[in-house]
Amino acid sequence: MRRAAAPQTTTLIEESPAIAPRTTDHSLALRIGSGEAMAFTELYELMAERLFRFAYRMLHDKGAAEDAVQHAYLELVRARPKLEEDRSLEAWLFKSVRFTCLDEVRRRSRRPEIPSDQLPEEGTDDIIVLIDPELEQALSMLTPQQQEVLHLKHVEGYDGSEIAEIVGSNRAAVYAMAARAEARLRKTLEPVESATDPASSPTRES
Amino acid sequence: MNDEQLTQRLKAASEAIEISDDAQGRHLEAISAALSAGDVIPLSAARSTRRRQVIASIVAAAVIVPAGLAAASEDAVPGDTLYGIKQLSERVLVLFDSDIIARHRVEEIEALEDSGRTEPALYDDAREALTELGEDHPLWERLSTSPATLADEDAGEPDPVDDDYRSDTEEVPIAPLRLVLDLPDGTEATIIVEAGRIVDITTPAGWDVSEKEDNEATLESRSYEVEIDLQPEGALRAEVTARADTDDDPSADDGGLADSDIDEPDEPDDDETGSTSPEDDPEGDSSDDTEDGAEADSSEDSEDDSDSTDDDGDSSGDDPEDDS
Repeated sequence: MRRAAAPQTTTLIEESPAIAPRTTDHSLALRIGSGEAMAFTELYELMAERLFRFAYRMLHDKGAAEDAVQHAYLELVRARPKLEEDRSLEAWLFKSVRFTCLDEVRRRSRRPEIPSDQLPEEGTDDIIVLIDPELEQALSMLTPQQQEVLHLKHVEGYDGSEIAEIVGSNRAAVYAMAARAEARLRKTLEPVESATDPASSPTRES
Repeated sequence: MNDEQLTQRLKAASEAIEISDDAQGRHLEAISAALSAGDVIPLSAARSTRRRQVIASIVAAAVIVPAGLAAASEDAVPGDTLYGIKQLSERVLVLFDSDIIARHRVEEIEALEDSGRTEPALYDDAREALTELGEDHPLWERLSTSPATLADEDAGEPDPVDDDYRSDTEEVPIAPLRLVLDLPDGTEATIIVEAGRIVDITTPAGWDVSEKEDNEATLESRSYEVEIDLQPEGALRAEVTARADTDDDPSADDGGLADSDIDEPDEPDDDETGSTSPEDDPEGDSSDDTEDGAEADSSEDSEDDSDSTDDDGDSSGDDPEDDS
């Protein structure tokens, strides 16, 4: 069993310092902890779209991204007795979604799978229409890790240490990865400006 | 393109990605179902709503105690009509709140003392539950300051170190539990559990019970094999294995049944010929089945802990029953 070796015991919410609460606050965390249904609804409305975007960026699959979001909240239902009051729910949710997505990415790499958007029997009418094909193309050449860091930095506006907590890395590594990803993205999008050699291919990079 | 322009462009592109109302409705429903302990908690089943096959083992923890009745039984003490209900709902609630059993016992002791009664068995139960939670649990204080406990200890009661705590609690006479298990083909099996043992299984048409023991059983249909395993806390764990199509490949049928072995025989296929097998197989379905079966099995590791998915991702917090 190949995968049996993979899970380790590192914990999701107890290891690294909390990132500062942002949209979520102390009292919401307390209410989540006590299992108040309204608090879960509020937290869902606050975060679901952002989590979905993040998941979609990693998976490019509407159904799988939705599943990842739902999964994160169901995990939270189960984990809530353990959540500390000052722990950022936001970071917790992002982490949880990220784990699900990475697992999915790994699973696909083992066994190529048709995204459920493309399955004939359902979901054909709800494919997400992306508005910037050129950018999407450029993003698709980045690694999933680069894409997630870029998303957390530019779309979510997290700083280096916040991203580091979510992706389980350190600040320096996050900065380095973001810089690499940005450079690569710029090079793809603006080959002439960024490459001094006009002959260099806009899309090739090993 | 400077940093700000890059941010603008990425943001604008992301705004096109919107979660559908339909998905939001489904998610909120699933969350509220998970929150109300009186409901079925189809954690991974809910996740795979959009998958064509059941891809992961189903953790089906189901009870029949309606939420209202469970709430009404909250203050019951031994001897009350609702006390059995209270104990029954504890078995599920403990999944969310690891302290609940100890807290209930201590509260019951206090309630009985207030009315001038004692129930010696409660002290044992409370100690057992607290032992599970650890020596420094704050509830010990409430328990040890009770005069009745001191009297109890004076009487030479041995230390409450009992490593067979679970089998003890299973002897508590409670009403049979009726657990409903969602089967991968959309039908349901009903499993009756009494005193921690599986006593009866009702299967829908097309399913057979091929094996049944006290706390595990195997259900089989033409396309699936479902192994169920009754956890001490009353939850039911099911592991789904999709069978290879019998017409297509009799050998796969034989081999596919042993649950944890399925990954091994599959492995070479996956790695070496995995890309060709889907095309080779005229019936897309049957190849899917096999693959999904393997997957169900391999995701079991993550299911075990948290349903969370990553190496470093087992969400610590989510398994109250694990850490006592």
